[in-house]
Amino acid sequence: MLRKSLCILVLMLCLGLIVAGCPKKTVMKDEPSVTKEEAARIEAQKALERAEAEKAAKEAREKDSAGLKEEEARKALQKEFEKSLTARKQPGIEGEIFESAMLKDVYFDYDRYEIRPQDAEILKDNADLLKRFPKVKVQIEGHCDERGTIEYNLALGERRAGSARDYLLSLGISPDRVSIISYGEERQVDPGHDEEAWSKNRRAHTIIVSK
Amino acid sequence: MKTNRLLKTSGMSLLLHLILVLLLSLNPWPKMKIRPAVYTVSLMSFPAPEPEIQKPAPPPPVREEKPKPPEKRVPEKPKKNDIVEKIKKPEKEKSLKHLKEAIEEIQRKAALDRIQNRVARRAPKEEQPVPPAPVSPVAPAPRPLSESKLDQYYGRIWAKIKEAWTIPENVLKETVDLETVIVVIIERDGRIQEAWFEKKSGDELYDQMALRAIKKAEPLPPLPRELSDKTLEIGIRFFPD
Amino acid sequence: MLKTPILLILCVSVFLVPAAEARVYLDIDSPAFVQIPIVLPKWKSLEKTPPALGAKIYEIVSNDLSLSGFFKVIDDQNLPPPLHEREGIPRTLFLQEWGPSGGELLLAGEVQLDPGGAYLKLRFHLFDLVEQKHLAGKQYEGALQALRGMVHRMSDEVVYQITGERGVHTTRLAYAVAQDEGKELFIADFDGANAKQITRNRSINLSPAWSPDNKKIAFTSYLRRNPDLYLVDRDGENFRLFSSHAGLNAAPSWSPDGKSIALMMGMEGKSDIYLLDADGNGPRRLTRGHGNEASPTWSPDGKRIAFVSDRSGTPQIYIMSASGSDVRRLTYDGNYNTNPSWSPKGKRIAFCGRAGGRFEIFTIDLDGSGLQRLTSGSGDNESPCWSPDGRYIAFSSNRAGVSKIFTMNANGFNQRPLTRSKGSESSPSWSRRFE
Repeated sequence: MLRKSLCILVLMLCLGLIVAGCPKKTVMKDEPSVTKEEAARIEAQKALERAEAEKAAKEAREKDSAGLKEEEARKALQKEFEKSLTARKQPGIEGEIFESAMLKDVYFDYDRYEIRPQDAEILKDNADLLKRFPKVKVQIEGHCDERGTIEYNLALGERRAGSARDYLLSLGISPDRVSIISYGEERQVDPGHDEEAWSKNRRAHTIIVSK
Repeated sequence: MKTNRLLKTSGMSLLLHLILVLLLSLNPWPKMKIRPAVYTVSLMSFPAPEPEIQKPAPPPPVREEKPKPPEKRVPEKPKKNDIVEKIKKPEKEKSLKHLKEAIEEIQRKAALDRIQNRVARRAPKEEQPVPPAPVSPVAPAPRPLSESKLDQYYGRIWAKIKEAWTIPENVLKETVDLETVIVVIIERDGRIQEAWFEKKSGDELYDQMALRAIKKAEPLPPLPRELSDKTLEIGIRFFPD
Repeated sequence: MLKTPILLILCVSVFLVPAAEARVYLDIDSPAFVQIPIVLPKWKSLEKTPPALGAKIYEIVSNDLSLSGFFKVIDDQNLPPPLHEREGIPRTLFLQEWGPSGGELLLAGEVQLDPGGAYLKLRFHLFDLVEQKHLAGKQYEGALQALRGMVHRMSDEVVYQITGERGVHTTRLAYAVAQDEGKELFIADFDGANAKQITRNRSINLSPAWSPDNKKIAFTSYLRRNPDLYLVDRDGENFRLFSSHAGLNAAPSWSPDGKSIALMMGMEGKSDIYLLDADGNGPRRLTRGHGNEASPTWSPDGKRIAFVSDRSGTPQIYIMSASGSDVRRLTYDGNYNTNPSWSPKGKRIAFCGRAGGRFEIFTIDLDGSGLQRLTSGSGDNESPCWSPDGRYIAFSSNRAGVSKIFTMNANGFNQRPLTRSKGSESSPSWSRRFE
């Protein structure tokens, strides 16, 4: 008798607990006493919040897509860069190197080795490219036109390569990424014998020795 | 007695003078150089003049030995008549003066030669007869002729040697002033008895070419008859400019 | 009575004294500039020797004699009838019959090939036709392969007899020849024969320089993607790296004792002159300052070095001591003077100067006076280099289109190309005599 009533008691307690654990139904009742003004204000605030939320969401989306774009652009550049690379292996000179049309030549006045203002821009572009691809190492070649004596032109070519290198270094490129070499008048790109040809040959040319 | 002593002392004095002359002759003296001009000569029909070129009596003391000189003069006189040569009028004044100098020069030299010869084989002489002054070597007319002849001769050998003087083209401009002097002894028939370097330039090729020029010019024209010596010794100086 | 004439004599002897030694001198100037005519009758091939051998010797010696610049060869074709058939050595007694040849000298000889065909005897005699006398005679014996060398020795001897100094016909020249890509080095005899390639690395090989012992050539090569200094034996063997500092290792010049090499190095970011010991020690820097320094060349006594510097604004020739002190400028005319080469006789320096828009070869005295221009006309003339006797200069010239090595006498006479090959040649270097 006693046991039965105890069991019923426990059961009723458990039920009670179970019932108590159930999600309560909350019945929210709006305060019927809110004024119309307050209602509008709240409404506006809500709208604002929504707008901001939308904006933030939009920005976040944009940011994402921009990042994506940049990522795309970088990838595209990389692709372009990779594409632009022509591997070159000369039989008489050891090492395989790459040339890229994106690394442009700079030119010099006759018997001079200073960087001219228009060439400074080109070097800036080259520097930018190098910054984008920090693993790339380059060699700058100094060249002369066919006039003048072979040995003195070796010295002149050395200076031209050196000037271009100094300028890149001044733009923040690390010295161990840029080496130089003088070819004097030994490598002409234009075999002509007039000023047009000569001005094309007086150049500093950049090649990639490792990427 | 007295005359003997006088003779002895004057003889001694003379001897000392001659020794002095000999010693001095061994020293180098400034040499006279001539560049013989080539004279144009034309035969003229009017008689040769007789300019009295009186010299302050330099009768060569050679006269002391034997009265030979008068004999020597003899063959020259007919010559004077044979060859009547006259230098062109406008140059006459100049040439006369030039001749005067040349005459003295040649005379002295010829005289000295004879002295030297005589000194070499000299035996002490007691008697020293001296022929009178008029027998001077300055017989007016013949002298100018033989001097001009000698000049002419110099001109001819000068031209012949110059023509023969060649140098290969690769030589001269490198070294600036090369000078070689060669002395030659010319025999009567124009052959060269002897030739030697008085001065060398230091460049063997240059010296060789100078000597070769002389050899190529051989045989030189025979010595002029007017010159009475057996040989003629002259110096030849090769100097490009 | 006797006194007067005696006194007269005494007076006269006084007059005679001043004129004691007056020899007449003739001044001769203005010689004609004519080569010495030398008669060269046919070379005789003795016994069973093929006539082609005599003909070959004839060709070589005839070319050598006119190449020397001293002689005009009267060859057998140009001799009047009885003489043009003559072969071999005339007898001294009959020299007079050569009068009509127009020659002042006569060189004649014979050759005998031994039965085995491997060895030969070469005999010659030189005569003076003006003095009608024998000047010299010699015999050479050796292997057939050494034929050219023997004939060149003979030509040297002829030059010696006439000038007192032996010729340079046994010498050789090293030079660079352009290839499709780059340049390779070659060596040829002074008469242009026997041209041999001594580098085969397909790279850019520049500025060969003979060592004073004639055994090896120093030069610059881009084999390792840097202008490094290499050595190679004259037969092309034993190619080895000698200096590979970063930057230039270029324009080597051996000291006359063969113990050091002066060269251009770029270690400090610009080109300077440095010294390297032949055993590898160094480098020691010689030039300082802000200019570009190039092209060193040693004086024959090894005490001074001439070089190019643009420290004044334009490239000019300077001289300094072998330790780098006492620098003084040599050239002042013109605004581009490079490529100095110091004469082995010590008194003059040849160089390349720009004049009238072209490059010409000049020589100048050590004190800066006596400037002489040796080339003119069309084309550019560069890289002068003296022969070991200081009587000839080799240089490169593109007067005929492509650049060729030329040789000439040191006064500019007798300019002629070294080889007849088609390649573009540059940077000559002249060896010493080969015995």
